[in-house]
Amino acid sequence: MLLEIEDLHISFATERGRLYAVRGADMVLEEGEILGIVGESGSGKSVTAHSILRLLPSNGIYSGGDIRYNDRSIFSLSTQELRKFRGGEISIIFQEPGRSFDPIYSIGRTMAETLLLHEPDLTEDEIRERSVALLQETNVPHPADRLSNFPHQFSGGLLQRIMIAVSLASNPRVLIADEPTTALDVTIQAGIMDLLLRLKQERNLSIVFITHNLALISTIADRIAVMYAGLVLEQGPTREVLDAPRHPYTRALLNSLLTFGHHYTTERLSVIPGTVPDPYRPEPGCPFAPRCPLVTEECRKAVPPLVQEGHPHRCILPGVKGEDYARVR
Amino acid sequence: MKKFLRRLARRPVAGISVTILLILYLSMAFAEFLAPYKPTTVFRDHAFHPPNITFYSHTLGFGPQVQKRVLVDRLNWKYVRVRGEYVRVHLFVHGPEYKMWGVIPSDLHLFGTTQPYVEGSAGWDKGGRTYPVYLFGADNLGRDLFSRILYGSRISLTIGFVGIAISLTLAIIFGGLAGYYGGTVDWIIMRLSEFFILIPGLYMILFLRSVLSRDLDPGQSFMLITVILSFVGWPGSARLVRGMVHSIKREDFITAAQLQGIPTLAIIFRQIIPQMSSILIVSITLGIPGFILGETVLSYLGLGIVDPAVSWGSLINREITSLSNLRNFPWFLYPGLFLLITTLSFNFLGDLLRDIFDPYFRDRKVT
Amino acid sequence: MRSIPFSETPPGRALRRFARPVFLFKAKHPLSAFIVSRVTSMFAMLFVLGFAVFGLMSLSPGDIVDNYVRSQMLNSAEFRQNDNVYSEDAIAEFKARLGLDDPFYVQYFHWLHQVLVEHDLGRSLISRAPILFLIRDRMVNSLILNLISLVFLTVISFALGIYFSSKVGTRVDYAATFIALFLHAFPGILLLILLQLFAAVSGWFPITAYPGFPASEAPGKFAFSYLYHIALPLIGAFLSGIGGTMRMIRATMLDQLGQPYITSLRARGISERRIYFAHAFRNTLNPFITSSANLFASLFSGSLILEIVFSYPGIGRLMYEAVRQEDINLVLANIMFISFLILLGMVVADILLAVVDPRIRYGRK
Repeated sequence: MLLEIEDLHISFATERGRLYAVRGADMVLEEGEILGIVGESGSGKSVTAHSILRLLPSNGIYSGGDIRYNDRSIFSLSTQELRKFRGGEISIIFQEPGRSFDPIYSIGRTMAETLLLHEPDLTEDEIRERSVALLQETNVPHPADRLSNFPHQFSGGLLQRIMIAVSLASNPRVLIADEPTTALDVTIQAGIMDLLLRLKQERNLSIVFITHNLALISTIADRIAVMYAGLVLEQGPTREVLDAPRHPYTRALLNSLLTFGHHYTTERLSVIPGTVPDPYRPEPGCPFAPRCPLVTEECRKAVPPLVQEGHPHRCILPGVKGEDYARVR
Repeated sequence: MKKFLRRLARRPVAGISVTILLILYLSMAFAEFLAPYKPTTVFRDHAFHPPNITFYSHTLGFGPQVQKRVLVDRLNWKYVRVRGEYVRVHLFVHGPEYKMWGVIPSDLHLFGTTQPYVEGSAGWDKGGRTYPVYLFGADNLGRDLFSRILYGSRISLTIGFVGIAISLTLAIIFGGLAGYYGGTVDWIIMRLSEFFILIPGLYMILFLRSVLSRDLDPGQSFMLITVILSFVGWPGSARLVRGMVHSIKREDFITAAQLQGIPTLAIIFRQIIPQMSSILIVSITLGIPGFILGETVLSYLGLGIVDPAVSWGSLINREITSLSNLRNFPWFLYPGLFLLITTLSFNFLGDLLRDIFDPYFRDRKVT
Repeated sequence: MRSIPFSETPPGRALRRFARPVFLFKAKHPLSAFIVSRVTSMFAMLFVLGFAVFGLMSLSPGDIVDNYVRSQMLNSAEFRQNDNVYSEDAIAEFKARLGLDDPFYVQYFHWLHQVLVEHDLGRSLISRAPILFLIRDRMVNSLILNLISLVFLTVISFALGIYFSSKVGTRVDYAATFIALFLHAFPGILLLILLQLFAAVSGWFPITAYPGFPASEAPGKFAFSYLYHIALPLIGAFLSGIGGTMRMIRATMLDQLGQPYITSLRARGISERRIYFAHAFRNTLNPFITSSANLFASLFSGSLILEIVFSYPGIGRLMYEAVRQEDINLVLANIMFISFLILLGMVVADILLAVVDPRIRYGRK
């Protein structure tokens, strides 16, 4: 196991009170693998990703669990080690590439900054060579000419590629992609997905891909983790999770996807009634209980523990949740 | 609204500021009643008289009272206290007649030493029962400074509101039009505002005051000053308004209003501007002290309110606050104290309001 | 039916052909083109301002002009009357001689000609001294004073602003913000009066802001005496200004530090120190320069009150005295000169901004 997250609990201290963002996250990333974290807004997926690099803001509280990289807890890293760890072992790219660059630094300078940080002895020519090579790897056209350009002079899609290039400059073994395509056109999206897949194959790069788009991630992920209200409800090999979901929420998500042959004029779209629970006031019991059509009294008593039947999931109701789980009208 | 009030209540500074401002403005409204004398009432025998109120004496026991003083040095206007001679200060006395707000006649004052009182009578200027009570001392003509401060607040405090009203109206009109229409209209208005920003504020005011006639009556000079000050101040706010109108313009509800056929002006002023109400409130609160200080500086330089009109600025006029005067008669600085309290209150309140309205503030981190 | 855009019509096309070299220039040398355009608009504005000033002066009531004319007549051999009583006709004729009954725009052009071609700003009505000399001396004084003040203020504001932005939420930060607000709200004029009173009472500082002897007498001693004299007023100006500036810088820093790119930098392993100074700080310069375009203006005119209270021979006080003495020539020249300097400052600030922020230079792609 390259990266392991075990029973992670994270909350934030805000003016409005304590916000419980992550209440029990477990997942595993193997080397050379793509792990997809799927969940709606507020499910805690971004927070989880940021916490892998200890990037939480100052009011973030790690109240439980552990994150281990190469069997070493990241919380045990000293400040020096942490700085080498960030970028050197694990890199992250963000949702809005336009806002993730210092606007007054040319992209060449941004690249150089990262390169020099992890390899301080590079000469100017070497820096230039490496920068150009990285940009070529991520399919940025005319890289040599564009090194002196500034972030605002690029389109969103190109900027995302540049960001990926910058994140690769430090030679990481893992890349976390936090909703990298959410802010981009669908056509550009495909290009980025292809790029990530290629990087996995050519560099043996392990990728953690965060998204709310289940259909999208199922195309490239080897494993999927489904998050809801701060909990990982289910995780396992992609095919297993999609063909034989063991959590009603996953099943509901799958039902709500349009499949070939079904059309909104012939039948109503399947929706999940209700809303996500309040992160400031977590209720006892399974967070999905208020909206789950299979809910029982037991479900509301305590947060379901992680069980290993099939693939790891948190539901006390046994077995695969099948098609017969009603299409709710 | 309730949440807003609750949040306001939770911060003591806001409460204090609001209370102080309320007191000041109420005092201003009831100046005729609260002041023992008219601002023009002269006591020639008591020029440069120090404050003389005290609350205990051997002779009269407890209670507000005034110790008599006599002039010993006419050249330097030095007074000494007369031992044992006290005059009681009564509450709710009948004193010099006045017309509240120029309409309601009365002669009731909150406090005073004039009881019974008969203007022009032999006892009026000559001590005895009618020895004047000087809360904050007297000026070069024996006029009670406290009364003058109260009456002066009428000009000083209202000039803030009038000024900001004019300035903000201009800013909203110009900024709104520029932000909504964009293109040529925007360009023209932006050049116009740049032009006004270019004008060196205080210098222009000096220039204008020198160019325009000196013989204006107090009312006119008041208006003139206000208008000049507002003209100098509007471009900044106009830019702000323009920027906001520009971004609000793209919202869907504006498109809906346009499709409904609502006239453009109505859209700008009834739909967009209310969206910015919180920013406008903060602008107003923080802009008022600027105008008050503007008037103060002008009057200090002798180019604003002049006798017989009174304002806090005119009370700290250059001639009055000369160094020798201040050393000998330090109570001349009392108007400055009022000025300080007012500007502090407005600024603290405005700052707090800005924090409350800031949407990012609510979810701010508590480390 | 859609109308043809202007650029496609015959006159539009002709214009475009002429404008082509301009566009080429703009593309190749964006910074120079920017500078040129700013300077041009600056002169245009100055011209309009002069127009307005002269127009306003034409509004002034007759008595001021008459006084001026009278004083001029006193100095003219031909019209002079010992008892200073002049007939209406004499006044009218002299006015015509001076060109004062010309419409204001004609007077304006005369004045412009006088200034730009002959380099003559006229003479003061009261002191008869050439205005150019008067202004020049006082200008230098104001400039030095404001420069020292500004440098001090900016440097310390930045230092404090950056420091406190790193200490958000702590009690020290709270106290500092409170004090800053208090200082910002304290009326500057009151502070100066109080400081002067303090100087008079304690005797630790002089009550004027300028040494009593000219620089030529003893240059070294003058320099020290000068610094001693301006110390207290500078403290006053500093205290008045520090509140606002420090809070603004702190707020801007905090704003920057909350931006996504900061997180991105951290994620790459860049040290906190570098993030603060090489990134956040550089990005606060931009909004700082934008909001303090007025700063350059205040370089010349900001010390007005200070000069008056502390009797400092600067251009602010010159203006004030000119106004009090109804010295029209001086007032006029002063206004135009100050406006020119302010505009210059604004243009410089704009250019500086373009240099510092590439987004303005290159525009959108």
